[in-house]
Amino acid sequence: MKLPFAWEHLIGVIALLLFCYGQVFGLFMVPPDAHMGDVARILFVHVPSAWNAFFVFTIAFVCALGYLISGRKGFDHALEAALEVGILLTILLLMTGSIFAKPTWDVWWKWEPRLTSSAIMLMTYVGVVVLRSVVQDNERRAVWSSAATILASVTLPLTYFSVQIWRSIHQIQTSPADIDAPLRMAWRINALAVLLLATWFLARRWRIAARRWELGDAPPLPEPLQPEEV
Amino acid sequence: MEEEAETESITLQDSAAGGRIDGKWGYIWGAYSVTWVLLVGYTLSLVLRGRLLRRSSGVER
Repeated sequence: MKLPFAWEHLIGVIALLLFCYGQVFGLFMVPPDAHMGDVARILFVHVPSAWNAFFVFTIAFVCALGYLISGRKGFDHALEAALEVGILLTILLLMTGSIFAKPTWDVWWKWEPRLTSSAIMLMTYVGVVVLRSVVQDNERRAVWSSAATILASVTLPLTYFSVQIWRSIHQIQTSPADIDAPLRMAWRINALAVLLLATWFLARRWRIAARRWELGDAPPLPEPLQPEEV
Repeated sequence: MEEEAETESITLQDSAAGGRIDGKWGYIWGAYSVTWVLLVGYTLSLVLRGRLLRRSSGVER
Protein backbone atom coordinates (compact mmCIF):
# COMPACT_ATOMS: atom_id res chain seq x y z
CA MET A 1 0.00 0.00 0.00
CA LYS A 2 1.39 3.37 -1.01
CA LEU A 3 0.83 6.24 1.40
CA PRO A 4 -0.38 9.57 -0.05
CA PHE A 5 2.41 11.26 1.94
CA ALA A 6 6.04 10.54 2.87
CA TRP A 7 6.31 7.80 5.52
CA GLU A 8 8.24 9.99 7.93
CA HIS A 9 5.26 12.35 8.37
CA LEU A 10 3.43 9.56 10.20
CA ILE A 11 6.38 9.32 12.61
CA GLY A 12 6.43 13.11 12.84
CA VAL A 13 2.79 13.31 13.96
CA ILE A 14 3.27 10.53 16.55
CA ALA A 15 6.46 12.28 17.73
CA LEU A 16 4.70 15.62 18.12
CA LEU A 17 1.81 14.10 20.11
CA LEU A 18 4.16 12.08 22.32
CA PHE A 19 6.45 15.08 22.80
CA CYS A 20 3.52 17.30 23.92
CA TYR A 21 2.38 14.56 26.31
CA GLY A 22 5.94 14.09 27.61
CA GLN A 23 6.30 17.82 28.26
CA VAL A 24 3.00 18.01 30.17
CA PHE A 25 3.86 14.80 32.04
CA GLY A 26 7.29 16.12 33.02
CA LEU A 27 6.02 19.56 34.00
CA PHE A 28 2.83 18.77 35.90
CA MET A 29 2.31 15.05 36.51
CA VAL A 30 5.60 14.07 38.13
CA PRO A 31 6.30 14.92 41.80
CA PRO A 32 9.33 17.17 42.52
CA ASP A 33 12.68 15.48 43.08
CA ALA A 34 13.63 14.88 46.73
CA HIS A 35 16.89 16.88 46.45
CA MET A 36 16.51 19.19 43.48
CA GLY A 37 12.80 19.95 43.77
CA ASP A 38 11.00 21.19 40.66
CA VAL A 39 14.24 22.16 38.90
CA ALA A 40 14.80 18.44 38.20
CA ARG A 41 12.03 18.75 35.59
CA ILE A 42 14.63 20.36 33.31
CA LEU A 43 16.34 16.96 33.22
CA PHE A 44 13.34 15.53 31.32
CA VAL A 45 14.49 17.50 28.27
CA HIS A 46 18.22 17.67 29.07
CA VAL A 47 18.90 13.93 29.44
CA PRO A 48 16.80 12.74 26.44
CA SER A 49 18.56 15.29 24.22
CA ALA A 50 21.92 13.93 25.44
CA TRP A 51 20.99 10.29 24.78
CA ASN A 52 19.68 11.11 21.32
CA ALA A 53 22.62 13.36 20.42
CA PHE A 54 24.98 10.45 21.17
CA PHE A 55 22.75 8.08 19.21
CA VAL A 56 22.54 10.36 16.16
CA PHE A 57 26.30 10.99 16.15
CA THR A 58 26.77 7.21 16.31
CA ILE A 59 24.58 6.97 13.19
CA ALA A 60 26.87 9.58 11.59
CA PHE A 61 29.89 7.41 12.44
CA VAL A 62 28.27 4.31 10.88
CA CYS A 63 27.30 6.28 7.75
CA ALA A 64 30.81 7.69 7.39
CA LEU A 65 32.26 4.20 7.66
CA GLY A 66 29.59 2.90 5.26
CA TYR A 67 30.44 5.52 2.63
CA LEU A 68 34.18 4.89 2.82
CA ILE A 69 33.64 1.13 2.45
CA SER A 70 30.87 1.06 -0.15
CA GLY A 71 30.94 4.49 -1.83
CA ARG A 72 27.12 4.54 -1.88
CA LYS A 73 25.82 8.10 -1.96
CA GLY A 74 22.89 7.22 0.35
CA PHE A 75 25.39 6.97 3.21
CA ASP A 76 26.59 10.50 2.50
CA HIS A 77 23.03 11.86 2.51
CA ALA A 78 22.41 10.16 5.85
CA LEU A 79 25.74 11.45 7.17
CA GLU A 80 24.83 15.03 6.23
CA ALA A 81 21.47 14.64 7.97
CA ALA A 82 22.92 13.01 11.09
CA LEU A 83 25.62 15.68 11.51
CA GLU A 84 23.08 18.49 11.48
CA VAL A 85 20.51 16.78 13.73
CA GLY A 86 23.25 15.71 16.16
CA ILE A 87 24.48 19.31 16.38
CA LEU A 88 20.94 20.54 17.01
CA LEU A 89 20.48 18.04 19.86
CA THR A 90 23.87 18.92 21.34
CA ILE A 91 23.01 22.63 21.31
CA LEU A 92 19.74 21.74 23.07
CA LEU A 93 21.70 19.60 25.52
CA LEU A 94 24.15 22.39 26.36
CA MET A 95 21.50 25.12 26.61
CA THR A 96 19.18 23.15 28.91
CA GLY A 97 22.22 21.98 30.89
CA SER A 98 23.35 25.56 31.33
CA ILE A 99 19.87 26.63 32.52
CA PHE A 100 19.86 23.65 34.94
CA ALA A 101 23.34 24.57 36.21
CA LYS A 102 22.37 28.05 37.36
CA PRO A 103 19.91 27.10 40.16
CA THR A 104 21.82 23.93 41.13
CA TRP A 105 25.50 24.93 40.81
CA ASP A 106 24.94 28.71 40.92
CA VAL A 107 26.80 29.19 37.63
CA TRP A 108 25.64 29.15 33.99
CA TRP A 109 28.79 27.39 32.85
CA LYS A 110 31.76 25.66 34.43
CA TRP A 111 34.83 24.39 32.62
CA GLU A 112 34.61 20.96 34.23
CA PRO A 113 35.30 17.73 32.28
CA ARG A 114 31.75 16.83 31.12
CA LEU A 115 30.81 20.33 30.00
CA THR A 116 34.19 20.95 28.40
CA SER A 117 34.21 17.63 26.51
CA SER A 118 30.61 18.25 25.35
CA ALA A 119 31.59 21.69 24.04
CA ILE A 120 34.62 20.19 22.26
CA MET A 121 32.35 17.49 20.77
CA LEU A 122 29.96 20.16 19.46
CA MET A 123 32.74 22.28 17.96
CA THR A 124 34.33 19.23 16.33
CA TYR A 125 31.11 18.28 14.54
CA VAL A 126 30.48 21.92 13.58
CA GLY A 127 33.97 21.77 12.02
CA VAL A 128 32.92 18.76 9.92
CA VAL A 129 29.84 20.64 8.67
CA VAL A 130 31.99 23.67 7.81
CA LEU A 131 34.34 21.34 5.91
CA ARG A 132 31.36 19.99 3.94
CA SER A 133 30.27 23.49 3.04
CA VAL A 134 33.62 24.48 1.50
CA VAL A 135 34.13 21.40 -0.71
CA GLN A 136 32.17 21.73 -3.97
CA ASP A 137 32.70 18.32 -5.58
CA ASN A 138 30.17 15.72 -4.34
CA GLU A 139 32.49 12.71 -4.18
CA ARG A 140 35.39 14.61 -2.67
CA ARG A 141 33.09 16.19 -0.06
CA ALA A 142 31.70 12.79 0.87
CA VAL A 143 35.14 11.22 1.32
CA TRP A 144 36.65 14.10 3.26
CA SER A 145 33.69 14.55 5.56
CA SER A 146 33.43 10.80 6.19
CA ALA A 147 37.06 10.74 7.26
CA ALA A 148 36.55 13.86 9.40
CA THR A 149 33.43 12.35 11.01
CA ILE A 150 35.34 9.20 11.97
CA LEU A 151 38.01 11.39 13.57
CA ALA A 152 35.33 13.50 15.31
CA SER A 153 33.75 10.34 16.71
CA VAL A 154 36.67 10.06 19.13
CA THR A 155 34.91 12.77 21.15
CA LEU A 156 31.86 10.51 21.71
CA PRO A 157 33.34 8.00 24.19
CA LEU A 158 35.50 10.78 25.62
CA THR A 159 32.41 12.84 26.45
CA TYR A 160 30.31 9.88 27.60
CA PHE A 161 32.94 8.53 30.00
CA SER A 162 34.31 11.93 31.07
CA VAL A 163 32.18 11.85 34.25
CA GLN A 164 33.78 8.55 35.25
CA ILE A 165 37.35 9.27 34.16
CA TRP A 166 37.58 12.71 35.78
CA ARG A 167 35.14 12.90 38.71
CA SER A 168 33.91 16.43 39.04
CA ILE A 169 30.71 18.36 39.81
CA HIS A 170 28.61 16.76 37.02
CA GLN A 171 26.91 13.62 38.31
CA ILE A 172 27.72 10.23 36.85
CA GLN A 173 25.28 8.18 34.75
CA THR A 174 22.28 7.11 36.82
CA SER A 175 20.93 3.57 36.80
CA PRO A 176 17.15 3.36 36.11
CA ALA A 177 16.87 1.23 39.25
CA ASP A 178 17.87 4.26 41.35
CA ILE A 179 15.09 6.47 40.01
CA ASP A 180 11.47 6.50 41.21
CA ALA A 181 8.94 5.08 38.75
CA PRO A 182 7.17 8.38 37.77
CA LEU A 183 10.48 10.14 37.06
CA ARG A 184 11.73 7.12 35.12
CA MET A 185 8.52 7.15 33.08
CA ALA A 186 8.89 10.88 32.30
CA TRP A 187 12.45 10.27 31.08
CA ARG A 188 11.40 7.35 28.91
CA ILE A 189 8.43 9.13 27.33
CA ASN A 190 10.53 12.19 26.51
CA ALA A 191 13.45 10.09 25.27
CA LEU A 192 11.15 8.18 22.90
CA ALA A 193 9.50 11.43 21.75
CA VAL A 194 12.88 13.05 21.00
CA LEU A 195 14.01 9.85 19.23
CA LEU A 196 10.93 9.95 16.98
CA LEU A 197 11.39 13.68 16.36
CA ALA A 198 15.03 13.06 15.48
CA THR A 199 13.92 10.31 13.07
CA TRP A 200 11.56 12.77 11.33
CA PHE A 201 14.33 15.39 11.18
CA LEU A 202 16.80 12.84 9.80
CA ALA A 203 14.40 11.67 7.09
CA ARG A 204 13.51 15.21 5.98
CA ARG A 205 17.15 16.32 6.04
CA TRP A 206 18.13 13.16 4.13
CA ARG A 207 15.75 14.15 1.33
CA ILE A 208 17.26 17.65 1.18
CA ALA A 209 20.77 16.17 1.02
CA ALA A 210 19.72 13.77 -1.75
CA ARG A 211 18.19 16.61 -3.81
CA ARG A 212 21.32 18.73 -3.35
CA TRP A 213 23.49 15.85 -4.55
CA GLU A 214 21.31 15.54 -7.65
CA LEU A 215 21.65 19.26 -8.32
CA GLY A 216 25.42 19.00 -7.97
CA ASP A 217 26.98 22.36 -7.31
CA ALA A 218 23.88 24.35 -8.21
CA PRO A 219 23.04 27.18 -5.82
CA PRO A 220 19.88 26.72 -3.74
CA LEU A 221 18.18 29.73 -5.36
CA PRO A 222 17.81 30.43 -9.11
CA GLU A 223 20.28 32.91 -10.54
CA PRO A 224 18.79 36.37 -11.24
CA LEU A 225 17.94 36.99 -14.88
CA GLN A 226 20.42 39.02 -16.94
CA PRO A 227 19.15 42.32 -18.48
CA GLU A 228 19.27 40.93 -22.05
CA GLU A 229 17.17 37.91 -21.01
CA VAL A 230 14.34 40.05 -19.59
CA MET B 1 33.83 1.85 47.28
CA GLU B 2 32.66 3.43 50.52
CA GLU B 3 34.88 6.41 49.94
CA GLU B 4 33.49 6.84 46.42
CA ALA B 5 29.88 6.72 47.69
CA GLU B 6 30.67 9.37 50.27
CA THR B 7 32.18 11.66 47.63
CA GLU B 8 29.03 11.34 45.51
CA SER B 9 26.82 12.19 48.45
CA ILE B 10 28.88 15.28 49.22
CA THR B 11 28.76 16.37 45.58
CA LEU B 12 24.98 16.05 45.54
CA GLN B 13 24.63 18.04 48.73
CA ASP B 14 26.96 20.73 47.43
CA SER B 15 25.02 20.88 44.18
CA ALA B 16 21.77 21.46 46.02
CA ALA B 17 23.43 24.00 48.34
CA GLY B 18 22.90 21.69 51.30
CA GLY B 19 19.16 21.24 50.92
CA ARG B 20 16.22 20.89 48.59
CA ILE B 21 15.84 23.57 45.93
CA ASP B 22 12.26 24.85 45.87
CA GLY B 23 10.52 26.83 43.18
CA LYS B 24 12.79 28.26 40.44
CA TRP B 25 10.01 27.84 37.88
CA GLY B 26 11.54 30.62 35.78
CA TYR B 27 14.46 28.32 34.92
CA ILE B 28 12.10 25.43 34.18
CA TRP B 29 9.95 27.50 31.81
CA GLY B 30 13.14 28.89 30.29
CA ALA B 31 14.52 25.42 29.53
CA TYR B 32 11.23 24.16 28.06
CA SER B 33 10.84 27.35 25.99
CA VAL B 34 14.37 27.02 24.61
CA THR B 35 13.55 23.42 23.67
CA TRP B 36 10.41 24.43 21.74
CA VAL B 37 12.10 27.39 20.04
CA LEU B 38 15.00 25.21 18.85
CA LEU B 39 12.84 22.33 17.64
CA VAL B 40 10.18 24.47 15.96
CA GLY B 41 12.89 26.70 14.45
CA TYR B 42 14.71 23.69 13.00
CA THR B 43 11.45 22.27 11.64
CA LEU B 44 10.74 25.57 9.85
CA SER B 45 14.28 25.64 8.45
CA LEU B 46 13.77 22.13 7.04
CA VAL B 47 10.46 23.09 5.43
CA LEU B 48 11.90 26.29 3.94
CA ARG B 49 15.03 24.62 2.61
CA GLY B 50 12.94 21.84 1.08
CA ARG B 51 10.72 24.36 -0.70
CA LEU B 52 13.66 26.45 -1.92
CA LEU B 53 15.35 23.37 -3.32
CA ARG B 54 12.18 22.19 -5.05
CA ARG B 55 11.80 25.62 -6.63
CA SER B 56 15.45 25.65 -7.59
CA SER B 57 15.32 22.19 -9.18
CA GLY B 58 12.12 23.14 -11.05
CA VAL B 59 13.89 26.11 -12.64
CA GLU B 60 16.96 23.98 -13.40
CA ARG B 61 14.91 21.40 -15.22
